[in-house]
Amino acid sequence: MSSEQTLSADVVIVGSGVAGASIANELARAGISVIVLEAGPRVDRQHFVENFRTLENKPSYQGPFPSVPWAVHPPNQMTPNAYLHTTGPDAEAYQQVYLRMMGGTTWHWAGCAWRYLPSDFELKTRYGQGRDWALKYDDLEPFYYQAEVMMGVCGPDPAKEDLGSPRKQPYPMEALPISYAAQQFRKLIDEKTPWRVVHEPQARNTRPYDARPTCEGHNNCMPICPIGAMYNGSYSVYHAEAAGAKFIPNAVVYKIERDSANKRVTGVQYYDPDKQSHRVTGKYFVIAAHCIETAKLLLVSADEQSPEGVANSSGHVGRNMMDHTGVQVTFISGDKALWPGRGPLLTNVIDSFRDGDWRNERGAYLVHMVDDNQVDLATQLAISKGYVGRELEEQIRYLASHTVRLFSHNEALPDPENRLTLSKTQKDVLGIPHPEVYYKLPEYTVKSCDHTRSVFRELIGLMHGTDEQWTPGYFPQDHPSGSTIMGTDPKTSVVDGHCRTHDHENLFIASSSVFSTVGTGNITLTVAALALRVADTLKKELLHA
Amino acid sequence: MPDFKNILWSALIAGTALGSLALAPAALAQSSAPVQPAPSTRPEGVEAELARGAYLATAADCVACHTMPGGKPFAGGLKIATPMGNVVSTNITPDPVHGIGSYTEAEFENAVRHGVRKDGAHLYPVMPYVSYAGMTDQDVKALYEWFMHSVKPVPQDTEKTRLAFPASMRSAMVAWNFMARKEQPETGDSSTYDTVRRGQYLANALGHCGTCHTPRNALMSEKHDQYLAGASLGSWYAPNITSSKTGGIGNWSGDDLVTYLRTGRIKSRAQAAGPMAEVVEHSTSHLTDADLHALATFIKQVAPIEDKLDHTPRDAVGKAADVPDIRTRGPQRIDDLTEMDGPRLYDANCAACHGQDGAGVQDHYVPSLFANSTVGAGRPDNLVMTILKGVDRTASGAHAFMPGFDGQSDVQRLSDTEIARLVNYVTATFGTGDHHVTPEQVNTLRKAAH
Repeated sequence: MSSEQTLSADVVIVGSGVAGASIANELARAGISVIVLEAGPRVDRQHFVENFRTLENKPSYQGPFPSVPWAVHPPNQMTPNAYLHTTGPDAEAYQQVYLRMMGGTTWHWAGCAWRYLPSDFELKTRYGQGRDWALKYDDLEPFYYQAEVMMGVCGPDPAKEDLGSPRKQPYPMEALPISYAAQQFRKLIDEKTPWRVVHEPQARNTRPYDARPTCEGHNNCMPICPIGAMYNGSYSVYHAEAAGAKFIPNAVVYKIERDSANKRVTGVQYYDPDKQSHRVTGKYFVIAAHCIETAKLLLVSADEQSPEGVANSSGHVGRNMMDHTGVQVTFISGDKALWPGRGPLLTNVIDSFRDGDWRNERGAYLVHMVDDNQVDLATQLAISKGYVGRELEEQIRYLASHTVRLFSHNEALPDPENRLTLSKTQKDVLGIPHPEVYYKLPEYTVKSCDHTRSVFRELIGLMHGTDEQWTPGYFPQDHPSGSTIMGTDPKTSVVDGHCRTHDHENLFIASSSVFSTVGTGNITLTVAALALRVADTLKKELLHA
Repeated sequence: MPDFKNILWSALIAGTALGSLALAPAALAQSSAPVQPAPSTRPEGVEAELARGAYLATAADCVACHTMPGGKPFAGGLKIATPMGNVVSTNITPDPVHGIGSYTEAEFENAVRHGVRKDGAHLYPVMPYVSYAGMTDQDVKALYEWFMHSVKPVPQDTEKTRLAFPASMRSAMVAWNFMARKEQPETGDSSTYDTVRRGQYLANALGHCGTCHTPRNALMSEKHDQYLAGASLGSWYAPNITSSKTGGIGNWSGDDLVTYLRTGRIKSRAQAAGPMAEVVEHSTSHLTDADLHALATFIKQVAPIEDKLDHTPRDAVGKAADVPDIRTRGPQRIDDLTEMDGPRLYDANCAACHGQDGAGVQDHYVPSLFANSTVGAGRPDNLVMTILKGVDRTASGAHAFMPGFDGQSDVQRLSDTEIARLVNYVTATFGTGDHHVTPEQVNTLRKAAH
């Protein structure tokens, strides 16, 4: 079964998304030997662009990425899902999608690159809810900036538009111009509500940056930026490779080995697509395999020494699953045409509900006015209304230019009952169990979503909206987090403030799985900042040992 | 973006400023703002001479070779790779130990116009002294004064140039210099010349256009009966810019030329990329309107020479044409990286910016592919090079950018086969026809560009 040659490196990283690849790049540039094990294949942009162009169902953002059998990712957000099985009262609200391949899920994110607010790290202290992180905003600030430079983030001048997360440096690039639709929306909010619309910080070029072009507003950031104006993890893989890191695709890690004292990780084992097993040893190990897969790997590695799974003496691996589960509505504005869909998908948000004293009883949230092309939805609506011929064409034009889509990111709380376990019945072709998640929306989030609905209704009224279509129940936001929660107490948490597992001194986790709470901003920039902080820790320990 | 380091020995021997492409933007920002003389007590005449020297250095594009990526202006160190080894540009700041601070004006003149160092050793003709030989005494002096008084000394050594035999014998250059024809020094005050003479002075003694655009004989000297008739640099091709209406740029107006030299592009005609983008960025975009017009006037009156391959104007070929409907297959598995055919490659890599029909965008920030001298040329070299290396040109306040698709690209890495198919599709659809470029040809250019 085992290959003859054992691979070895100073640092072995599982996963090549933004977290794993950025650590690999930092370490390789410092002269440290690195092996990156990626479950999925090496990929490239042009084939995804062609897949997207030939796709019938354009809004399906998993559509252009049919997975390989040895590293399945969720095919869609539908229930039942053939891979990520969800149960519990809010099973449908936890249908997360992600990508298992070189570069990870940032192939189809929308580039939203928020820093968390200082209060997001201290929810317990400030509002008596959830937990505090084992680090503060100021600990992460330099790494936030490093991540913004690495990814190429554009954002507003803090003197003109303070997003609430103190900055020592300006954004690497100027903010995106706000689209025509967003300008109309912003005017309405400014004039008729006490709220505000701000520029969304985006990992997207507003000038040529890092040998990649300026965004041209193709409006299909999800599922695929056709020109490379938006950051994705594959760039960091390329940079890491150029700096000497070894990238091994199609390497599905299924086992984390420890020494006899169970204190240090000694190696990992992976299957290739033919289920041949290979062993990789190293001094340090980083699991950077996305919230779902990271927890799954720790649990799959259970053995006699650790019957509940690796790094799991607390029993918290797989627990405290969170997301920005939100609310979504589309409607037809009765005011003048907005012509959404001209520019990147997300350029603006209402950030008036990100923080406040009310967080002691209900969750915070962000509201996105989603600036996507609405021809698809408009056509469905016009047909359903019975229009034909020339009238159908006119209606499609009218509806597409007047459709408004709003959705929210609502704050969850870590609840140990919301739990990822290994499926007892479903396995992949390699014999590795599928993940299964029990999910019940915390009351804190339910109250937050109720508040959001009332705000949305008010906005619909202000825009004289008709034809409201509310997404039934709740809307998953694909920001899973919490499955290897951070904390100071090894009895109730999995990793410490440096993302080092309490149980194994040379095992780190770089993923949203370490989040102690989930705040409201999209999670990727915080994932990247935490990862770069892990790289910094590893550099200090390896170079100054 | 050290993307243009390997020029052929032929171009090297003849002396070329092309290594400049390796300049990083940071260096460019520095170098385009040379240290100005302090608003000192110097007499007015001295100030004027220093200003004149600064302008001459820009027109002669000294910074291009004598600054390395991220390095201090004129501190040298830029490596120009050749099959014979790297030629490393020298420190020409006025540092007395590491630079040229100890040079007298006569020694400076001997280096600039005759290619002889202070210690008597011969420079490799990468330094275009055969062109600079045409400078007036007055201008050499102004250049000397500017280097000595306005350039910041940098006490820093560069690596030594070590070439393989026989090029390692600097003395061999004596024989070459004997046979190579040099510009004859101009006389008088170059700023008072009439338009054509001033243009000629800018084109030859300073801008050394012929270094790239004039083909060379067996001894690697410029063929004077083929002045500006076009030559390969091994990777990029410096096209025929004589006044031939078919093979050259005789269909360009004087204003077209001025616009091109100032901005690097003319809508529905041409865009500067590669070494010419560097020339525009560092040199011609900083020239005065009067000088640009003089240069244009001179170039316009250069004798027409027909081109061997281009028999219709390169920039007046082709029309909009939609990609055939290829959206028939469903999505392929993520690990399917099969090389696609020409239309699909175009659709996946080019159409997002250049349009399904090749028309580019309205303001031509992204140019059309028809009416485009790179696509319409008989030689596909520059089209291949543009796909490999992209475009990165900042001139007159505008930054033109296209990503490269070579082995360092983060956007998309294309194979030799893919680039060959793409080039053949693009030339067949928007240019003069299928060029039947082979993967081997692409590979040769890919290697030459590194």
